[in-house]
Amino acid sequence: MDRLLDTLPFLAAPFVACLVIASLHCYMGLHVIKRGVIFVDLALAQAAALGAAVALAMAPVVCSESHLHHADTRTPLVTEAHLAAQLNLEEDTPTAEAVSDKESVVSRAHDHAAHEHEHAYLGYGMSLFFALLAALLLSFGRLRDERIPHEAVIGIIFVVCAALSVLILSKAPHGHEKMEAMLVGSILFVSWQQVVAMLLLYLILGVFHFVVRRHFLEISQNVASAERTGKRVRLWDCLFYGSFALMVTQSVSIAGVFVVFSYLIIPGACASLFADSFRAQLVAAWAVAAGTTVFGLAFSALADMPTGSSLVSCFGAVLVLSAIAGAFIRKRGDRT
Amino acid sequence: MLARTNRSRFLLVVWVTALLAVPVQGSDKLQVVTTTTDLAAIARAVGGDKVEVTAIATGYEDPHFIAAKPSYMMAARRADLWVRVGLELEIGYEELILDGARNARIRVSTPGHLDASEGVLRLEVPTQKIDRSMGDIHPLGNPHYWIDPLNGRIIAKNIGQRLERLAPEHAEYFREQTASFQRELDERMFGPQLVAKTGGGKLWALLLRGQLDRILQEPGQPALGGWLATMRPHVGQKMVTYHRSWSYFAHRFGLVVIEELEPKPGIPPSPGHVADVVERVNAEAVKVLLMEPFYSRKAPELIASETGISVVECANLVGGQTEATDYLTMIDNIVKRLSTAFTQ
Repeated sequence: MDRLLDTLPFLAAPFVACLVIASLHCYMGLHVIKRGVIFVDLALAQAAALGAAVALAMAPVVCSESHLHHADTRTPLVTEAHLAAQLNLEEDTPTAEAVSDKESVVSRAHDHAAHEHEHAYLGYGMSLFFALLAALLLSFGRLRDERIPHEAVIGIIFVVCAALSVLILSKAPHGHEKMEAMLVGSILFVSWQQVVAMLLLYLILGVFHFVVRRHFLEISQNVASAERTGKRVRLWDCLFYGSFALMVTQSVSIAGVFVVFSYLIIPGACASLFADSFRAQLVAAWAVAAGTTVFGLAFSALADMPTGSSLVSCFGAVLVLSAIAGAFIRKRGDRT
Repeated sequence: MLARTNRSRFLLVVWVTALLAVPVQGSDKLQVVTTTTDLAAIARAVGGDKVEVTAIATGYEDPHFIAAKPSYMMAARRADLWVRVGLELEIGYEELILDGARNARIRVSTPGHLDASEGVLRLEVPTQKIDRSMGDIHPLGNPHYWIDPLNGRIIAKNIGQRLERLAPEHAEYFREQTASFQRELDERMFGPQLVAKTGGGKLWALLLRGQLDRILQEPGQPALGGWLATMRPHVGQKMVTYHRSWSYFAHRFGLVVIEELEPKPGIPPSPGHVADVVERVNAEAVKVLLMEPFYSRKAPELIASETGISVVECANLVGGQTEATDYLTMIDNIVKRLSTAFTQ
C-alpha cells in the first residue's frame, strides 16, 4: 500500500491521459464494432508509425558542425598525456584536490534534445499525413460491389505500412527498438502539456462528432439502408476515418498501439454484452474503461511492471470476467 | 448535509497530507540513483555505508534502452544524487525520468546531478558532421568508456568528490573510500607487489606514456601482475565485436577490433555485411568474436559455423553475468574469458 501511495504523484498525468483517451476511443470503438472494421485502428496507427519512420529518415542530421564545435569548447578532450600528468601528481596529494572541481555539467544532452524536439514536429506532421492518406484509402476502399472486402483493405494497409516501416528503420540506428517502443508506448512518461494538447484536440473532435452523430450512427448501423436514402456515404466515411486518423495519431504517439487498440475495442465489446441501446453502451464502455484504468495503473505500480502492458492485460482480464458475468446473467434471465 | 461535506473535506485533507508526507520519509543515508549498474557498483564502493544506491537499468539489458516502469521515477524522486554515464548514452530516457520525477535536487546542472564522464578518456570523438546514415554515432565520443579501468578510476573520483560536496561532514570518509577503491583497482591492474613498490598513480602515468616496460626492466623490480600481465601475451590479437562497445577495453589492453557485426553502430547485422565479416575473419585468422549477452546469438553463431571463430559472451555491465558482481569482478570476468579464448 505504501508503494501505491509513493507512486501516486507519478500516475496522475498517465491517469488523466488514459481518461482522455477513453473518452473518445470508447465512442469510436462502438462505431468500429458496429461497422465490423475492428482492425482499422491498427491500420491507421501503423500508417502513423510509418510517417514517424519516414520523418526519421528525412531528418538525417543528428549533429551539425556548429553543435560539434559547441560541445568541444565546453568539454575539452582529455588526452592520455594529460591524464598521465594528473596521475603523477596524484601520488603527492592522495585524492585529486589538484584537479579543480569545475562545474562543467552543462546541459550538453539538452542541446541534442532540443535538436530532437525540432524533429518531433516533423514526426507528428508526417504521422498525421500518412494516417490521413490511409484514412482516404479506407473510405474509398469500401467498394460497392464488395469484390475486395473492406476488412481485406484494412489488413493490406496494415501489413504494407508495417513492412515499409521495417524497411526504413532497418537503416536507422536502434530501429528495431524504436518499432517496439511505438507498439508498447510510454504512457508513464506522458507530460501535462501532452495531456492538455490531446484534451483540446479531443474536445474539437468530440464536438464535431456530437453535432453530426446521427449521420455516422445511421451509416454504422446499416450502410445499405443509408445508401438507399440517398446519403453520401463516401463523404461521411471520409470524415469518419479522417477524424479517426487525427484521434489515433495523437493517442498512439502517447500511449502506443497496443494500449490505444485496447481502449478502442475492449470497453465497447464489454458494453455490448450488457447493454443494447447506443447510449447505454457508451456509458457502460466509459465505466469499464475508467475502472480498468484504475486497476491497470494500480497493478503497474504495485508489481512495478511496464505500465502500457499492464493496462492491456487488465483489459483482457476484464473482458473475460464480463463474458462470464454476462453468460451468468443471461442464464438467470432465461430461467425466470 | 453540512456535516457530510465537512467529513469529505477532512478526508481530502488527510489524503493530500499523506501524499505529501510519504516522499519525505526515508533513512538518513544519501540516496544515490545511477542509470547503469556499473556506476551503481562504483558508487557503492565509494559511498560505503553512508549511501544507499539504486540503479535504473539492470545489467542484462541494453543500456541504450529501458522499458518505463513506475519504480524508476520513484527512485529518482527520492534521490539526492543522480549519476549518469553521459556522452548521450541515456539520451533516450534520462530526460523523461528526470522530468517525471519532479525532483529539484537532481536537475541537470545542480550539485545533485553528476555526469560521470567528466574528465574521462574519450575515444572516437567525431571530427566532422554526423548524420543518421552513419548509424548511432554519439557526437561527444563513444559512450562505453567505463570498460577502461582507467576511466573506472576517474568515475570513482568524480563520484567521491560529488559525495564530499553533498555531505561535507563525511568528506574524510569518502576520500578514504575512493582511495581504497582506486588502490584495489590498481592492484588488480598491475599486481599488488608492483603497486606497493611504485604506487598506483605512477604506474598508470607510466603506462599512459608507454614507459612501463622501462621500469619493469629495472633490477629489483617486482614482476607485472594483474589484468595487464594476463592480457600481455595477447597484445595485437585481432577480434570481431558485435557492437562498437569494446573500443576502450581493446585500447587499454592492446587488442585490435578489425570489424563489428553491426554494419553501423546500432544497426542489426545484414546478410551482405555478415558475408564480409566471414571473409575477413577467414583471411586474417581471427580467433574471437566478442559480444554482450543481451544481443542475439544468431548472426554470431552463423559466423562461427562458417569460420570456426569462438563466440565469447562477456558482460560489460555489472549483473550481466553471474561472475560480474561489482566493477572489479566485471573487468576480471572479461579478462578471464578473453584470455582463455585467445589461449585456445
